Amino acid sequence: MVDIFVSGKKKVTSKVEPSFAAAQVNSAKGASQKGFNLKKPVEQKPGLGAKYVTVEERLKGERSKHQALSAFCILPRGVKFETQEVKEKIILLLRQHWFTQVGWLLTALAMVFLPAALRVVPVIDFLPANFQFMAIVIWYLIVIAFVYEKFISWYFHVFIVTDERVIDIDFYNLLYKEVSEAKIDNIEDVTYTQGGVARAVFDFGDVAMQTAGEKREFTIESVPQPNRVVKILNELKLEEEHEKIMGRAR
Amino acid sequence: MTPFDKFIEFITRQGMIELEAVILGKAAVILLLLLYLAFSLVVVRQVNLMNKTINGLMEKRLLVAAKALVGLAMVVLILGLIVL
Repeated sequence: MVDIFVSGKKKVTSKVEPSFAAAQVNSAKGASQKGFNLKKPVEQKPGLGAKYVTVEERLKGERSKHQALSAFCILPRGVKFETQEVKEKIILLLRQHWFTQVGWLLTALAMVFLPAALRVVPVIDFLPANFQFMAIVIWYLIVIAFVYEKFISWYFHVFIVTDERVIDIDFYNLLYKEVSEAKIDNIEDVTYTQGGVARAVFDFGDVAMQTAGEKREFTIESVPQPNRVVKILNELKLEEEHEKIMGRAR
Repeated sequence: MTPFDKFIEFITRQGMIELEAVILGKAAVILLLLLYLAFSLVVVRQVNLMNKTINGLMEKRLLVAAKALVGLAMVVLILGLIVL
């Protein structure tokens, strides 16, 4: 943070430096009246004046290759959302870790093999043959609908981090969605929790953000690599602060 | 006879419902398939809405799958009318 301030100020003082020699020729009184700093200039520190590398530029080398079904996507290609601005860039696209979907996957698998179990336990034998056939067909229709609904609920339940804000898109079911957003510079505090064997082994957890906006708290649940998410959010916060400072310097 | 068979015999003999149980069953299955068809149409609409909210690399595939579900529902509805 200190370096950013010094960097910002150095650009201003660098414009003053050519006049420093002129100030030395003039009388001290006159020079002090003009406001020139006659003290020894600030010592150069390594990195000062260097080009500021944005988070997007830094993450370009870590861009994910397979992105369609990824739960942790850096700089995703071909992804847009409803309220995205023209110059706004998506830094992170997050979904719930695949491990959280194991429950319904196993349920679906059991549902697929259930009709085979009917041969052992005759439940619908009292029905005529054509009704039994239709019962099995309807059962598989229900299985397909169940799997599809669960999949799109997972796929569209995303958390997007752009260079300007964070957006939480929640599709709780087919008929209910909630979209919340907060500006990066409104984020006050970011924490993550990772508890339990599964979360420790597969490296996923919850990331909670305290904001100064209307919605006080954002929680991204069961997201992969939560420590990395927190790191990127903190870097984006610093970038926002840097942009504000550079804006003021101009 | 199973308890369900006894129940069906009771309601048909007592005249509470004059229709045969088979016709009743057929109507129930067709109604169920019609509801499923309506559900699949809702799924297509919701997938379209979801794709407008956020679209990625799977947009077209998900829409194709939703429309295939509608087609499947219609095929099964026709199958039910024929088989039953």
